[in-house]
Amino acid sequence: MSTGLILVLCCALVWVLASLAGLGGPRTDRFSAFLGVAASLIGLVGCAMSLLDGSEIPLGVDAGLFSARFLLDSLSAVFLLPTLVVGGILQVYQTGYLPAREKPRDARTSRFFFGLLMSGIILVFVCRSGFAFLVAWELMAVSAFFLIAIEDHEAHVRRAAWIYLVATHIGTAFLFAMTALLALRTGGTEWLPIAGEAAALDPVIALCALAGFGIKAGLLPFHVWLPGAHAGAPSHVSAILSGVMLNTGIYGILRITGILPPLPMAFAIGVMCLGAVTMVYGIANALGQGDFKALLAYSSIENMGIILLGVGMGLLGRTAGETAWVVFGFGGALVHVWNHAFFKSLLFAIAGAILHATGTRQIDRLGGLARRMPWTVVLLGVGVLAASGLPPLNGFVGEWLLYRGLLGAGLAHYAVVSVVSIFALALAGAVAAAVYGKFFGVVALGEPRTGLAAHDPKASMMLSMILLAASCVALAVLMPYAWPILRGAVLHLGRLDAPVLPEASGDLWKLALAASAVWLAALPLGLWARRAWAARSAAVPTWDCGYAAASPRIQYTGASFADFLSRQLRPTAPSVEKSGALGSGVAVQPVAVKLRGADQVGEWLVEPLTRRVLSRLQRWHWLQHGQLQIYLLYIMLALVLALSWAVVRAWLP
Amino acid sequence: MVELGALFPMGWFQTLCHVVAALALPPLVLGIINKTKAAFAGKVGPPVLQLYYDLFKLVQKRMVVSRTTSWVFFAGPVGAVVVGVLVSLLVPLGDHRAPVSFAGDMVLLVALLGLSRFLTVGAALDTGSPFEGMGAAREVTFAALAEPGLFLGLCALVVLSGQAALAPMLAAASQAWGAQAGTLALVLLGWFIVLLVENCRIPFDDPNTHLELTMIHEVMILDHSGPLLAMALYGASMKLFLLISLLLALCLPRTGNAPLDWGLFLAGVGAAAVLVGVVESVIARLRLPRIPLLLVSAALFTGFAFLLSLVKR
Repeated sequence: MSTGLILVLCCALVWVLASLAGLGGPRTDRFSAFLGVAASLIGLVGCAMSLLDGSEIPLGVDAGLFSARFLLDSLSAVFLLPTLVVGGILQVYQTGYLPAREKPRDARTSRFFFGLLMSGIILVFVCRSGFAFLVAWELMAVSAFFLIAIEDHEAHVRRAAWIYLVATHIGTAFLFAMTALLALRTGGTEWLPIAGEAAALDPVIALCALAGFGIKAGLLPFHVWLPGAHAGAPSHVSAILSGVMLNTGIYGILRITGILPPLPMAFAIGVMCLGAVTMVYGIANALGQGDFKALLAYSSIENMGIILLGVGMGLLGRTAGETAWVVFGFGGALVHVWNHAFFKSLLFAIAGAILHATGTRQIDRLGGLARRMPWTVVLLGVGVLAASGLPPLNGFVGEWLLYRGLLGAGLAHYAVVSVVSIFALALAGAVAAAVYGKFFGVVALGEPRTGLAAHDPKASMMLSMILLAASCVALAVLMPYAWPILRGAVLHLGRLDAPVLPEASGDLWKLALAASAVWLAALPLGLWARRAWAARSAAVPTWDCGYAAASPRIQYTGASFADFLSRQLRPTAPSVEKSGALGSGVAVQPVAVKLRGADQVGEWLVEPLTRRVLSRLQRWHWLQHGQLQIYLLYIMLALVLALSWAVVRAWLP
Repeated sequence: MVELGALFPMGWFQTLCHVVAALALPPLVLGIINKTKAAFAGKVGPPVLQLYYDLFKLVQKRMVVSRTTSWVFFAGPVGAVVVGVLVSLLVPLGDHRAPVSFAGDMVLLVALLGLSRFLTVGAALDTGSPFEGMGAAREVTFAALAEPGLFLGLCALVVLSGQAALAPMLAAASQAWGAQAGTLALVLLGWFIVLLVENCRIPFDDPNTHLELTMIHEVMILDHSGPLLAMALYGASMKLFLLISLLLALCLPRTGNAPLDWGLFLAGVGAAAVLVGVVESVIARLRLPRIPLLLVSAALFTGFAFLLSLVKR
């Protein structure tokens, strides 16, 4: 029996129950949170069972075209694990972030659609037939729309939600095309690995998947929906969207390319280049953001680029029969999926705590939180180090695996694409450190720039943040133990039979030891620092060249911190634009410096294109008039046309 | 669980020599640099061991800590020393072997240096001083522009040597001067520029300037005092020493005789310190907007080195 799969399906069902319980308002709120956590635990047990016994027995409902087929394999389990853990933790977080007693309407919407979103995502990971997959996909996409739009009294939130809805449905259109082509290719709706030779249709299917799923993952140039939606949504929603829902895009690409025979070299190399461009563009834009949630959103684009680079590497290795690339590419991508799920949801959860306490998302209005939200800032330190890809945290491990693959087999056989990828990884890594240095340094350190109040959040939020941060530390220190879990998924994706996982685990031990060494060194040195702190000379102001009456306003802001590097990255990133002149002559005029966070691709490519398409479509506008009856007539006409086509086709030779 | 012996293949005596050298030598490098600069300026200059005296004096002092700061202020200098110790285990010194060596260890090395930089930047911003914020912004900018050059050079060496672990890679590369002199010279040149910027030397930064506005690294540790300042200075000197060792491993001859190799290594460290001193004496600090151009040229040098290594493969 496929007990694991049944448990995961039960988990999706319990999430639906949790969402229904959330409709009850304050009285059933705790029960809803409990159901969510319980659902996640059930699902985790199911994943563990399936990973341990390795059996893959499908479950299906047979109904012709609408037959649904479910299967829990190692790839699904690898994606389900972070989904369930992060989902369960955020379910607890939202009881504190959006309390049912204080904001009953918003809380109800949030609980209801959060549960539906979770069950949609879980089903996406286990559905293995075209139609059922699309239903699960839409359940997820539409629930996410309502979650993004929770604070719809604000114009920018409404706009972001609509853009998201349009973007996700353009993606779905590609997925419809992909499903149809796949059905044509396999002769059935089930998604089973295709044996035999590659066909001319394969690259088309793969491109449809890349476009459809790429929109969900926020890959360039389909990323335009992402920053607005992530910044405008309530923070627990941003966390689940960024940490978990983006992964469904990566999952989709992996799943579809995994069932197709090895794809042409050009496709794999194209995927790698797309990943490289996405990561550099994403992080360069993150640097220019003044809104810390938009900064985190752009950083998610960067991380999706990193993951896609790994996917491309794995695909290339599969086509070329290079085992090391398959292992380090797919393995690195999956490890980074895990890591990103945890550190990004941690960072959004902390962003929520800061927003909750201070009421602003503007980096330059904050400062000095380290002394007013001490515990939050410690966790923020964990989050920013992880997201900068620095040891001793988990973000580094995934990037290291990619570097390892590129430096090893990569440079030996595909030198040019490898060196381009290494260049992009190195640049993106260093800029990421600058981005998070800005976020952490300006928001948490120094003196408060405005008189906004701040305090550590309440217990439920704190607990969830601590759990997420602990997961990040654990993944860094215990990665050698987590690596074998990915084994099955990597073997499946690479279509490898032999149980090959080359020498990486020994090296992962060394990384884990390095991380542990830093943590162990931090302990005695921290104690020393405490003692030294107690024995310090009487507290004095900052030196500031001996100027003791400094105002907090003279501190470096996020904009000034980012300015220099932004200017170097100008072709890809928004720059700091100074409005107003310094003035000629002796007298200095006041200058207003404003950070313009415009997205170049959005501004120069997507927006004009959309505008043109819309103006062309204007002439069909008369078809749309809001009369329900006439829409129903359209549907009937379409059905009649489809049926008559079927009849005519039967007549044709 | 992997056996520890498998992770650390070097004998305990060599490891001990390695660690002692990595811990004891760094302040000497700065002494030699300053002596060279003094000689160029026609002065006597401070003793070669001056930094040792400074460190000894500083650790005995009490600290003055700004009331604006938090724990991050301590994390900067402490992180610099911890990272210095860890990185020293990855870099081959006198006998051309490193206690810890594995494929991709260079990436860990760069990431550890990144950690140290991140914490230093945090400590600088923690003081709330605009000067230190300015230094921090410059530091992350230069680091972002230097990193591609570092990695492109690494790619060139990987292609040239067919090795992905630092110590064997450098060993194989240093034997290839006959066949691939161009590649190696370009990598050395590019990495020397990276070394200067990573350690905030002229022409990128003047460690002896008197004006906070013009500093980069020195301004970031302006508010540190006593043992914290000692740690920051010591950590910075370790970074300089280790990057010099990395370059030396590319160009020093190997005799196979351990004491002789160590002697050559020490002479090489001295020569490199003199070279840095000479560079600092004969050229002036660049204007700030010109610095990114020099960093891009470092990336170009290593990029050309990579192309050459491909052609010659």
